Amino acid sequence: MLFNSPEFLIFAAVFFFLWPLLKRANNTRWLYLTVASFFFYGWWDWRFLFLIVGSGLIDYGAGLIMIRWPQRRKVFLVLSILGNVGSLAVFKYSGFVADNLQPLAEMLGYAGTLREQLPRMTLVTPVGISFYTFQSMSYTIDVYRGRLEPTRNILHFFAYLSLFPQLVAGPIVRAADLLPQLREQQTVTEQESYDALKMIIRGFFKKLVVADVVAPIVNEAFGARNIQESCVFWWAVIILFALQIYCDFSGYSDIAIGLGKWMGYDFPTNFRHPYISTSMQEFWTRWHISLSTWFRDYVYIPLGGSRCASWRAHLNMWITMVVSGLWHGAAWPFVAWGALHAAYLSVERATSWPDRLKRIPYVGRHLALVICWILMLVAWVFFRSGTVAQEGISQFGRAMAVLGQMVSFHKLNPEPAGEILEGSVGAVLALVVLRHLYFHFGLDKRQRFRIPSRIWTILEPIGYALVVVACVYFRGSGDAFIYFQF
Amino acid sequence: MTKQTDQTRFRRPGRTWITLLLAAVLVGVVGATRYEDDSGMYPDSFWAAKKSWKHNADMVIAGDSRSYIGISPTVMQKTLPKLRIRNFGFNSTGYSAEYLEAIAAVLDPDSPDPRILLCISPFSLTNWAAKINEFLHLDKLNARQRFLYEHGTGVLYFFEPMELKDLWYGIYPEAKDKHFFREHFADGWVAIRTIPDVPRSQLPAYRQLFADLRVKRQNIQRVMDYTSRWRAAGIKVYAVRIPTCVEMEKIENEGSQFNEAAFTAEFEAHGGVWLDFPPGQYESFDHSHLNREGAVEFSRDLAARIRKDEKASNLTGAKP
Repeated sequence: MLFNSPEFLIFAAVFFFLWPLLKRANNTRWLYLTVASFFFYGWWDWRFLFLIVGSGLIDYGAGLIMIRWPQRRKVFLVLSILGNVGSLAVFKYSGFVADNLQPLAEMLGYAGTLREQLPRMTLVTPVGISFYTFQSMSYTIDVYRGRLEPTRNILHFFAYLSLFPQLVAGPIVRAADLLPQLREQQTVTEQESYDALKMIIRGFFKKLVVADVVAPIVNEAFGARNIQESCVFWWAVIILFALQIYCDFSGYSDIAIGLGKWMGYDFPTNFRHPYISTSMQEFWTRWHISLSTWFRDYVYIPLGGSRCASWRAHLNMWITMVVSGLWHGAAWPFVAWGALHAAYLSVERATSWPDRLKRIPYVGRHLALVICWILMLVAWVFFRSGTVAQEGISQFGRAMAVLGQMVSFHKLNPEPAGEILEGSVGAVLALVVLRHLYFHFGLDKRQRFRIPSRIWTILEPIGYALVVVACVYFRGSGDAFIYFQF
Repeated sequence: MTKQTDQTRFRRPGRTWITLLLAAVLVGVVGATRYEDDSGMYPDSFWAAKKSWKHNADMVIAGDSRSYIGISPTVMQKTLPKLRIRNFGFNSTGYSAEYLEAIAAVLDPDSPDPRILLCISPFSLTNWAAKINEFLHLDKLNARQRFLYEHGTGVLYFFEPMELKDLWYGIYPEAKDKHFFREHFADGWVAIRTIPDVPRSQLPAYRQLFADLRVKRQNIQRVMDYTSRWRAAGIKVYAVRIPTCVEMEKIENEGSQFNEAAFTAEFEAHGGVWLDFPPGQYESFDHSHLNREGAVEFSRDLAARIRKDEKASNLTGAKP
């Protein structure tokens, strides 16, 4: 079920209407959350509910068994991880593996297509599988490490695992954060309710008015048979994509966090203005925070983190980033995206160039921002190419062709860029750029730019009501949230 | 992160409810203020209803946009009152096997006088039309979409996206100096009237379209095969090329290599009746499609021609 669909509005209205009645008793609350969340997920395809249930049963059981037989807890941890990673491997990566083994199979004399031998169901990536498997694994890993007491109530566990606002596209909420909140009935103050509403409205605005307006331009550019031969055009397109993916994903996170707040639950912040980062290290503390901290805590640090020889620290970081790239998609361009970011971080770590640059008075920080932007945009080319499926051209080929155009400074040809940036697209781009500059220059912290609270109390609801109008009537024609496919 | 349980309860409907209420009111006001050139049925409802027609007509008119814009069944019925006539035309639709089967399925099997009128344009006989076929595209609607289009279009339309200028024109309608009035009728006709009369000619677009697009023999053969089949089943089959303008016909004939005379002869050899209307006689809003007045006049003349053909058949005793 998409947040931006009439069915979800009806679902949410019914859910929150009944929520005050059904949240009082623990078991009723947990059962209601689980049933509602399963309904929400099953609306897309009820057959894949068995995956969440299966994954959840393995981890719930593993958690209890680890406490019962602590000497064997490693075995059950491994079983839990295998179960979760196994379902990812089957439903997300089997096609990718089959395609990559095809040349080897042909060399060995196999005449058929490996992909066609796979059961059909395995070629459909269940919505949200990457998110809920990670959320489930974090439960068993934290139990194993002794950081979490496993829950003995299966409804409590499934309420945590399947909670619908963050089930399909995050933020990935740790069991240690959410299970205690679920244990008690939460009451929501008027201020919290209002903050949640504002967050939800902002989320819908980012998705419907920004991301969806920009999406058709990006899709058409990347889906065209022939690459547009214009340097300026492609820089414009990739900037628009950077905008699209940020607003799409952070918009979803805002809606999820807002809905959680309405229920009385705090989800972690997932984005903190990543595009004002002045170093790539800073970028990864601001972008998809719940995922990057997951990888830090469950991959990077267990590998040794940075508390080892320098070359080993770099290697750990590379492994973490490449796996992170692969998490995003079963395609080599995603791996390249992860590797590129690993390269950026390695260079940064080795040279400390952002810190050196920022020491230059007046312009240093701004230069660092521009360089980070260029590095991010180059990486986004691979990310976006990973979702292109076109006959006659590989995803990598598409990425390299686009990059080639971006550095063809002799082919500036600005007219195509002018065409795509006219009207609402240009307006939306200007709005987002201004907002980022507002935060980059710290204007949000300056008193003179603050509206007096008495006036703001009246203006704010009107402003947000107008934003709702914009979401309804000035929305773009994009569709599903990008991160649903992960 | 652990949330502190807070004992503070709701005291009064606060800013949350005020904001939601204000939003609902503003959404309603803006939706109601939107400027609209369309009237009649809602377009999604119109197409969904048309797509679901079965066994409810004595005469079916088929073809692409020129047919559903150019022919009014209701006007025709004034001259042919005994016939229930339906316009089964769809956008950019070529004569694929699926479409031809569906045309016949609209006819009432118990009709005493079943007839089919094929609107022939060179575009409808190209492979490109067969590929981008709006008729087939409507098959891809899922059950949810079909339900919404049939029962909820009014609500869907109220919340359709708009541009700021639509809101502006809704408040100041006199500021709008260009109009594209479209009225969707339940009989399958879409009447179009524009201000100014010819807002944008389609001649350059068709010149470019037919630069490398050709009529294909297999599409013509398919039409002929179905014509023979329908004739054998006792269905009278007419064909007409909706009159555009002289220059458009020239572009189409030369570009697509469509030979109208050869098509006509072959069609009549398969038992069909070709209704000839020279170009340039009826008003068009884009040099391709007839405007409302042109369509009404053409429909009247078309019905009169069919009536004349009926009388001639009765006199000669020719098989209907």
